[in-house]
Amino acid sequence: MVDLRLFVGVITVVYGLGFAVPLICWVVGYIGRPAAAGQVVPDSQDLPDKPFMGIVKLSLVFALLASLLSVVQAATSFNAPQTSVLVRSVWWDRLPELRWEARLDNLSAFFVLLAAGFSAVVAVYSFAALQASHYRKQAARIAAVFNLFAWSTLMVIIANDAFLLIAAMEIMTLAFGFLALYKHTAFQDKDAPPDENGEKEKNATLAPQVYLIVSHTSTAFLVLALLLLAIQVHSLSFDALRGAAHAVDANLASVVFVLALIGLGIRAGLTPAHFWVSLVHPASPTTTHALSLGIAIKVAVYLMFRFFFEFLQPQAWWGYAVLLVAAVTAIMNVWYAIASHDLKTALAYHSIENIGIIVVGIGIALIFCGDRDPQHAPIAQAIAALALAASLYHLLNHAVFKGLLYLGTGAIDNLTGQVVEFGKLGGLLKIFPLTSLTFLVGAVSIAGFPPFNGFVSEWLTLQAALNGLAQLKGDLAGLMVIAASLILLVGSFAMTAFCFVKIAGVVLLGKPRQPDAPWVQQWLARKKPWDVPRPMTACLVLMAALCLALGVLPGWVIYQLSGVVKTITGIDWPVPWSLTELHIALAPQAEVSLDTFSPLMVSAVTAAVVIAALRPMNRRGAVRVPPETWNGGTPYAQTTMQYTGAGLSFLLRDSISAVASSPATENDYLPSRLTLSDSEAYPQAVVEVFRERYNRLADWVVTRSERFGLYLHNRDLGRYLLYILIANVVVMVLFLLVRGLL
Amino acid sequence: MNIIAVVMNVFQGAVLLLAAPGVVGVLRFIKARMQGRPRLVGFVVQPYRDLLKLVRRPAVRAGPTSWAFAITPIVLVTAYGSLAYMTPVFQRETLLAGDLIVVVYIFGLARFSLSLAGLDAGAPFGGLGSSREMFQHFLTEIGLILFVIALALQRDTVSLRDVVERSQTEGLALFLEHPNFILLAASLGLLILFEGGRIPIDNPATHLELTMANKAITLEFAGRDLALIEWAEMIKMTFLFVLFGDLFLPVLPLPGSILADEGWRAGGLSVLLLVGKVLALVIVLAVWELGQPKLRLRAVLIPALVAIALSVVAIIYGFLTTALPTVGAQL
Repeated sequence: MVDLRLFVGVITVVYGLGFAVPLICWVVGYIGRPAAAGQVVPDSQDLPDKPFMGIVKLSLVFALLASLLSVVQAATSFNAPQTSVLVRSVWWDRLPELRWEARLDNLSAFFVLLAAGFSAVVAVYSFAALQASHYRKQAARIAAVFNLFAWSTLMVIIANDAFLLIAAMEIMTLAFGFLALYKHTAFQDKDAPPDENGEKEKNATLAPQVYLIVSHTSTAFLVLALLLLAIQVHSLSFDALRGAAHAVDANLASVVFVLALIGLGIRAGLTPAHFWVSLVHPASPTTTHALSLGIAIKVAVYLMFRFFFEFLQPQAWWGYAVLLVAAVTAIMNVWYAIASHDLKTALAYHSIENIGIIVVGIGIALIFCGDRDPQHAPIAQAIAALALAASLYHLLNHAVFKGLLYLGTGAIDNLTGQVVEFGKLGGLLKIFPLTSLTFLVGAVSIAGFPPFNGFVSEWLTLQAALNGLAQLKGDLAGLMVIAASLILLVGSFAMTAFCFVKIAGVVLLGKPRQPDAPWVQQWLARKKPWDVPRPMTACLVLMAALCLALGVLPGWVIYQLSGVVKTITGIDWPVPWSLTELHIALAPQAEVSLDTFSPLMVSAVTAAVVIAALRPMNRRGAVRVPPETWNGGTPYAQTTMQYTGAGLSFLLRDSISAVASSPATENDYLPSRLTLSDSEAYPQAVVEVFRERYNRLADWVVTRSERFGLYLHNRDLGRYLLYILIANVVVMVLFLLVRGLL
Repeated sequence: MNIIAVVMNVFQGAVLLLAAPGVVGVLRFIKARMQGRPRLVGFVVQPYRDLLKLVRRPAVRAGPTSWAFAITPIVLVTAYGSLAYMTPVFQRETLLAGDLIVVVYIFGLARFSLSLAGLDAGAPFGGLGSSREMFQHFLTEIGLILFVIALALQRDTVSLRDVVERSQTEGLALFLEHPNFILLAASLGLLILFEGGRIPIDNPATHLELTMANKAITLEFAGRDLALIEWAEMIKMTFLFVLFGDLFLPVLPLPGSILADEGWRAGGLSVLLLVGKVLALVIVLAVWELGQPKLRLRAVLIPALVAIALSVVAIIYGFLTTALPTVGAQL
């Protein structure tokens, strides 16, 4: 652990070098213009020329180095005494409050650990991944901006004043917007294969625009919330905000809460604003995509912890609101995920679903932090702590398994030449064994089955909700809200399992659905499976191992998370931990006892049985393998007889549409022709209610305002004179009002 | 925990695992008798014979399948087998700690793995089965978790051991003290039909592929793979009987750890009671199935919604009886 000021300086320099080196090389002409076709990078399938990939690797080494430094710094400063440091006073002496202040408390350290750890993995992965032909021409710029992106994410997390926070967040937004441009640039490339119907190109162009608009809307709300608080304490420093949390008027606190919830909800993709994630994220390169969905989307969750628990005094009704929004987010997005047709979109929807599950924990914690009845105090606090631990645990798990699934998707993307549609894949488990194995581990983890990590955090979330329910026995409204969100949540868990049967079953199992695809032909010719290069497999295996480790050793993780919970809420939550049993007592005097289960023991016994059973089951002579699947004498030779993803999910989609009106169908969205906007630019297979409504709203506003404008400007001289008169009167009234004369 | 207790805990799970084919045999026998085809089905031993016959034959795995297909039977047996070691069968102590949420998720794991296997051979019936299996899983999981919520609100815990212990110590007065347990029992009964794939949700004895759900997946398995899958399904059915008996058929409190804490008399009595309970449930299920047609595929939504509604009513009833008096007193 080094001084925080030194740490910030070092990572800024190292990440800065990673960002600047490719840029400088490009400016001086050492690596040429990567985007211009055929200048430096040869178009053949050979390796690109040495200086170009060398610079890319150098840039990635800087990213890896800085990320590892950050991991070490965060790990060593966990549970250490906290101080805020002034990193750099802005020299503008007329506004002395504008300064850069940083702080690395447990919450920041936890997030730095996640973000930097994951950046390190992505950096190693990118070593090999960026060599793929579709990245080659842009590899240098992706690597450079990746450095900037990782750095700005870390700065958002360790920022301790509003100015640095907003500045770093803007850099993050721009960096990600720049990354989302990559496909757009790829389509501008004359050498790229032509787009089938132009839809992908439109999406690729739309993605950065949508992202910038959405992020800036979110930032606007956030700035408003921060300013309202800052005005109260006359300071932009978070220390001052924290200190004055008790003094803020309850109504003003609620206003700030609503503004912050809207701002952060948009950024995190909570339901009325989830539409952008599935559009923007699949447009960015898979390597950074993993980082942005695994980590950057959680920056909003990080700020929720800061805002709702530290800057404000929680109130119970916030909790109910957050809980409902989160539960609706979870179920709605898993529903869209089921209806989507390709890996990237489906995983983007699942990311928001998981954000929903994470925020459910925050909601429950808010309810019980807001309960200030001293009679309930110990149990309410313990439930709040449990809910927060569940939320943090799921956050950690989501970073791991979603990171794994994204990196796996990137590997599949590279191996199959950018084919990620369910209808074109199949049988990958035999063709790319290691990538597929790790992908399957990720699928089981996200579906939430023991012994993998998704189960533990879902279990904790359910336990928090159940204990909350038990505590709220006397409060019918609260009971009903929690029970309703619990039903939605469980529905989303069950649908996730369904969705991952579809994803894993269609992508990894069965027979290839496009037998004439080059990668299938290659496999048939070689008769031998192959896989992605070593650095990529190493990352995948590492993440898969983490999935298992977090699933079988939850006790220690929860023990560590209790330190973060203490930082967030100040609740001292003693969790004894044992290697074999997960047992959490809420409080000694609690009527509610949490339950135990023994993940390690169950897993160990299960693994022993499975390994013991594998040998006799697969002994020579115990298995016959006919070459084809037979149907009473005739083989199912045609691959088209397999179930498709849409066919698999049809039963569920159709049955649920019978009960609730279906929000997602697989028909294309037909925009109304009366309107001005080019809504045809959203040709996604999933029809989203909200995106459609937002489009309608935008259309309505534009048409109406235009009509109103035409009405005003009707070229009648008399009316124009009337406007001038009205304007004069208004100005005069305002003048008098301001001077206090009226 | 001394060595005798550990041995007894292992024995307890083993009893469930080994008795499972027998229980299913009795069920099939009673059904056959009542349907007037007594000669066709042997008594308890018939499923053992079937399993032995299958075990002697080599497994046949189609060319397009991968290791995910090969591992599925083992995953199924270990998943359901672990349930046998989590639940009190004839004594309170168990080898593994577990709660009802874990039980729901282990059911999910088994269905997940079976559904994946259904897609692995690349044949259309497997996919058909997977789609239906996961659809039923979706309905069952919501129903089961709601059941768990309702039970937890009554018992303040979801730990299998504690919930069972409280039910058993209250005895049959359980239903008088908490009338909503009748609703919960009905809900669990319906969910057992779902989870066990019984009529009217699914017909386990069907031979028509188009009407199959679970069985359509097992079509691709043969030999010892099939033996393991059949055994796993039998373990699941027996586990469900035992769970229902533990929760809703309390006669005498379960003894602690037999031979370690309590004598063999208590153990013997407990085993006898267990046999009686399971037999009673088997007869009830056989009679129920006799008068039922299988529902259409989409129509299973209705029993699922009924199961959910029963749990919700139980929650509301629990609220009215426990919370309202205290609220009234406060007012």
